[in-house]
Amino acid sequence: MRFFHIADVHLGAEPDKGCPWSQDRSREIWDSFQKAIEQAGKFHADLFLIAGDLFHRQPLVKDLKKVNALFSMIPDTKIVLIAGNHDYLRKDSPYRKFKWGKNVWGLWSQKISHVDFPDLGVRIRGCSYGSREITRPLYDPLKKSGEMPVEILLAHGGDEKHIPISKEKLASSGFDYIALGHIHKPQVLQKDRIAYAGALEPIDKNDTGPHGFIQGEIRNGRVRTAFVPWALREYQNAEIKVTEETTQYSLEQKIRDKISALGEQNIYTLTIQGKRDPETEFYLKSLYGAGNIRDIEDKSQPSYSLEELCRKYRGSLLEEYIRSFGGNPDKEEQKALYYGIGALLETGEEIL
Amino acid sequence: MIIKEAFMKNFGKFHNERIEFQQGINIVYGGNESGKTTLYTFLQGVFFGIRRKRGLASRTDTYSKCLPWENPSWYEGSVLFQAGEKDFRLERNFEKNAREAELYCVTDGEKMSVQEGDLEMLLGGATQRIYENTAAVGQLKSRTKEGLTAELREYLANFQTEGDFRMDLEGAGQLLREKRKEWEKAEREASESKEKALEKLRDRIQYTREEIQNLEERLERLGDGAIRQKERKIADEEAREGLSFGIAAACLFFLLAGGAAVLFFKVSWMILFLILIAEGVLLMGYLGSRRGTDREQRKEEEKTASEEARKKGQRLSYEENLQDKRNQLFNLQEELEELENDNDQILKAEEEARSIALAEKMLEKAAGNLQSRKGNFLKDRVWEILDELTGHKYQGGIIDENFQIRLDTGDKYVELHQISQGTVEQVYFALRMAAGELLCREEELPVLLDETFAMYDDERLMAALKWLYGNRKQVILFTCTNREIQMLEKLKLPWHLVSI
Repeated sequence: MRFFHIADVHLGAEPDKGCPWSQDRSREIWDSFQKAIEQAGKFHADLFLIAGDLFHRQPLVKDLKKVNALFSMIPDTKIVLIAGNHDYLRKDSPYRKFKWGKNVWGLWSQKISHVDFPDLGVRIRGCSYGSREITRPLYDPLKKSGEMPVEILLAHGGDEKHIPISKEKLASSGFDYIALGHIHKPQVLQKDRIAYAGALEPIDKNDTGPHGFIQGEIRNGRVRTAFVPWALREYQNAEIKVTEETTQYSLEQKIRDKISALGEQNIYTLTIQGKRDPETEFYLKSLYGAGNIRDIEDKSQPSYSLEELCRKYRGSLLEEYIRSFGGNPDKEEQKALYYGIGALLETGEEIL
Repeated sequence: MIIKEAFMKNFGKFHNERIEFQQGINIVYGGNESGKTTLYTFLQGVFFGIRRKRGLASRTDTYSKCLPWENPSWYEGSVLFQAGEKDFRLERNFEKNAREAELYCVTDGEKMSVQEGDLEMLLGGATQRIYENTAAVGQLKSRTKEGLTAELREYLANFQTEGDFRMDLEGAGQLLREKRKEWEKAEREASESKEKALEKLRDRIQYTREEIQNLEERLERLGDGAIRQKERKIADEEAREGLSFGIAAACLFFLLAGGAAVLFFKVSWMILFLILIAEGVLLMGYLGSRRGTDREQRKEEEKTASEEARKKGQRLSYEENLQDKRNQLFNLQEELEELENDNDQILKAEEEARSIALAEKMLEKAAGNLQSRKGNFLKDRVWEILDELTGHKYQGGIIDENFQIRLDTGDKYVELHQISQGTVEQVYFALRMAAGELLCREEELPVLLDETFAMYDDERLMAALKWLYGNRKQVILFTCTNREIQMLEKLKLPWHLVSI
């Protein structure tokens, strides 16, 4: 038996709202989901498990129609889904009333329920969120019932406010596979047995690194899984090193080179590091045009040490200023310190 | 620090010239053109290098003036000096592209590194500018009193900048203010664009609310209409049933009345027969009409049923729509809440503006501290020295924020233009010595005086020499007269003659 395990698709999300690529991303999330379904069809998957947060917010009927139409493309694949903390079952939620296709099962109860597929010899257990937060560890006490040859837990959560889980308890629950959702970073808690598929597509700048889904096969009670990178783009944090020779222009060039090396489709958070020429101040705003850049933080420091400055400008206002901050300035003070030094050096003049 | 020996290998007119100095007062006596100023330049230059001016000015700068007369490409010398308990030798090549000076500790027989700051440390951090402005007193540029007064003011104004770099408190403050304004503007813009986005969302929420209300009203109307129609139908039916019952009752009544009339009033049976016929006709007519209305009714019923179905469909679609709108409203409200809490941009700009404001504050404070600390020390010390130099004639004074100096004669304050040039020179000298103490606290540098006392009368010259002897470890005085020597003899102070 073959299965797909996806989670946290967040259909309807608008990542990086206000950025030029935001609308593209909204569309790409749908596209990527559609392609994953097509892939499941090509792969002849028997099961397609969606571990919550299929939608970013409350789905509308038209959204469900769209999703249902996609599901109908793979009539031989059984699709099981639950509602997560984002698309939880409000009283007006259309999840329950909606007329799903024949190959779609929703575990909408807020108590653990299950659906059996005798032809596959599989029981899927799980529950849906009826509110934004659930602090009870609903999954920890569960054990494999033994009523079906293969039992899979479809679960969503894992942090303090969203059904906390104990890795040890899950590991000793006896389930053949636990398909987790909620944490956006794909991660394996126990090889071939417990895993977060991660968000299918990264949803915000914190979702760095590759994203996709998990593809698995159960044969003779033995489970094998593999992560399939699927996302169309990645969020990446990159460091840009500067030296005393770096100018605004060469910095921009450097950023372009870096981005073209790492992939132009990706979305970047850049940190400028290193020692810059004290006379140079990078104008960050104009750097944003060099690619899909979400954020740039300039952490470069002028290429002098404070001690050196104090020695060079002994007894001067500059030394007095530097010393007035004491030996251990906090973040704000440190910023102020460099602003002041910069201003003094910029406005002062060399005496010949 | 004490300079023990200067060795000018090739410097100006000097060639392999070794000159010794001693602790205390050294008098370098020589006529004009004997090379006093060249030696003075060497003593400074060997420690700090000789900086070249750029362009045309380089033709007459100090560097060019002291170029060796012979072999100008060979331009070097060394100095032996004592700092702390140890002796050091500093060799310097003044050639344009020469390496840095080389420093040796003679006592330990060790080579030291100028590059890593060993010389700087021995000099107590003093720079050329500090030295030039304090202990190394060159020939005065201005010989007029006005010029001197102006020079003095400038000296005071630049006092806080002892390095080779003049800080501009006002300019720096201005720059910071501009930068802060920029960030404050960015903060305002971020707030505004957030407010705009919020407003847009609120509008959408309001619109969705209205849509929901609209749908709810329509649904209500749909429900009302259905109920009213049903009621009317029931009433019709009842009315129709009532009518047929009335007809039947009338028929029976006429039949009975006819029968009674025949029995009791012996009216002809024909009447009964006639009534029966009339009733039969009536009944036929009624039934005929009844059949017609039934057909109509059935048609009507069919119509209402399809109407009903349509309305039911409409209601369902309204309900579904309503549900969607309610979810949409909820989503919008969630989005609004998220946006309200999203202050990243604003906070970032705010943080920068706050840091800059702090920088401005700290800069003001630092300037104030520096001013008062240095200023007070400087003032106190200046008046002390001046008191000794003038034989207690001027015991104090005022230096105001515009660097105007007024001296206290005991009964009134006099401005500099009211006193003699000699006294102004004394004030200048006292200021330099005081500044030297302030700026070279770690290592006292030899005092170099190039014809400094030319304008002093004998009495003041003696006071100055006495002060120098009592307060400075080493003084190297360049003079072309023997006045200083005479005064020293008169004072019975030890001194060392250096002749060149």
